Amino acid sequence: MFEIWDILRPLTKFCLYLAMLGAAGGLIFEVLFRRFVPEVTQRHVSRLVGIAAWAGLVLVGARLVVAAGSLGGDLASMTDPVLLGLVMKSPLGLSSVVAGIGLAMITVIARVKARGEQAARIVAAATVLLSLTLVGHATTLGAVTGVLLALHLGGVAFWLGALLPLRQMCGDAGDADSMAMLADIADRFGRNAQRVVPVLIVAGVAYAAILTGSVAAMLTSGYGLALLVKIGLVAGLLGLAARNRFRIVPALQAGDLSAALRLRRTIDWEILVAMAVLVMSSLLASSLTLPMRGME
Amino acid sequence: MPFRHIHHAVLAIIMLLSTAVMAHSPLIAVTPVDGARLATAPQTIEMQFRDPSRLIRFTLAAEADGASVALDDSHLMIEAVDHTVSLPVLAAGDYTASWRAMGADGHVIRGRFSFTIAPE
Repeated sequence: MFEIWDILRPLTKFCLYLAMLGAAGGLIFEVLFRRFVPEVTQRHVSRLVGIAAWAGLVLVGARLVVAAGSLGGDLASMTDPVLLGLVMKSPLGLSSVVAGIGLAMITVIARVKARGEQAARIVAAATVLLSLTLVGHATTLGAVTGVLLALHLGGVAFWLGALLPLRQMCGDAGDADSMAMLADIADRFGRNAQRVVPVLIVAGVAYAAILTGSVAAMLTSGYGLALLVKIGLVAGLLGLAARNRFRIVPALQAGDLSAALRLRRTIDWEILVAMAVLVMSSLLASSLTLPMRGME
Repeated sequence: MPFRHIHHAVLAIIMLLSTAVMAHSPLIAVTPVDGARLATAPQTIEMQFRDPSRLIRFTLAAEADGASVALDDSHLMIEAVDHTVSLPVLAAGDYTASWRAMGADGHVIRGRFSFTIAPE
């Protein structure tokens, strides 16, 4: 039987993934590329990171409340102290506390300029990503899956965190200097991505293989089929990234003004496909119904 | 702009949500089995999960009038693989049990099953 929790759970998870990966990804972008981008982009990234962190904090609380409601099966359960206590004692509680610490650190980093802020950014991003490995399948299948998921999420955050800053720079690339700066940062991102993306893919595939257990399970279970959809979307994302790396970035470096517009359009598509991937990830991480008689 | 296609994506999400995807710590056995037709009323309901799970809610309703059977709650909130729900003396008729539990990984799982008591 369909319940409101079947929408609220993955929806909350999707929004939380977006906020957490956006915040962590923005920090990774700042650590790697901040000194190569114009001040306007630096401010843009800082603002995005701050918004994502605050949204993440709200969503961490929302996820706990929704989990309690889902446990009890009615709206009153969302504020039931017994059920909220159970949720807090579960892996979701630990994950939420760690996520809250990481996100709170990010909000502080966004306001305070001090020595060691690069190290603080790395610690905060790692804390947020770590929290995502403390709940769900990764907790029941041993340390290996936790490490694989952490590597996968790190790669995803690196990728997602660069999309909006690059998009903003495309919009501002109206003269030779800003074009050169865009070409430089797009090239730097691409060269880093060539090292990061293979790790992201290998870690993700290995994690999925451990989770599903066999190729047959991937083809016959609902989980496996949803995973195949996600893999198909990621393949599309890789195609877009390859187009950027091998066609648009060389055009940018050659001073082709139309290349900035093309890059912006491709990034728009990347964002859309990335959202679809996150939707699939949210569904994969959420328990909906069971393919067994006697269960719904 | 690709963003104009967002409504298509939303439709796709709703379709996906209506599809069975997967669950965590699933129930691997229940006695009486779903759809069982019993000559005598069972004294207990046995549930076995793949991983330790905590039963949060368990209700048993008679199909005839939809009334819930009064159960004690000693079987609730205990984390275990095997759960036993003690039953009062049940009259003949159709019954549906609904349950909700928290799996070992913190996820919520739920289900329902039915059985019939039909003395020969």
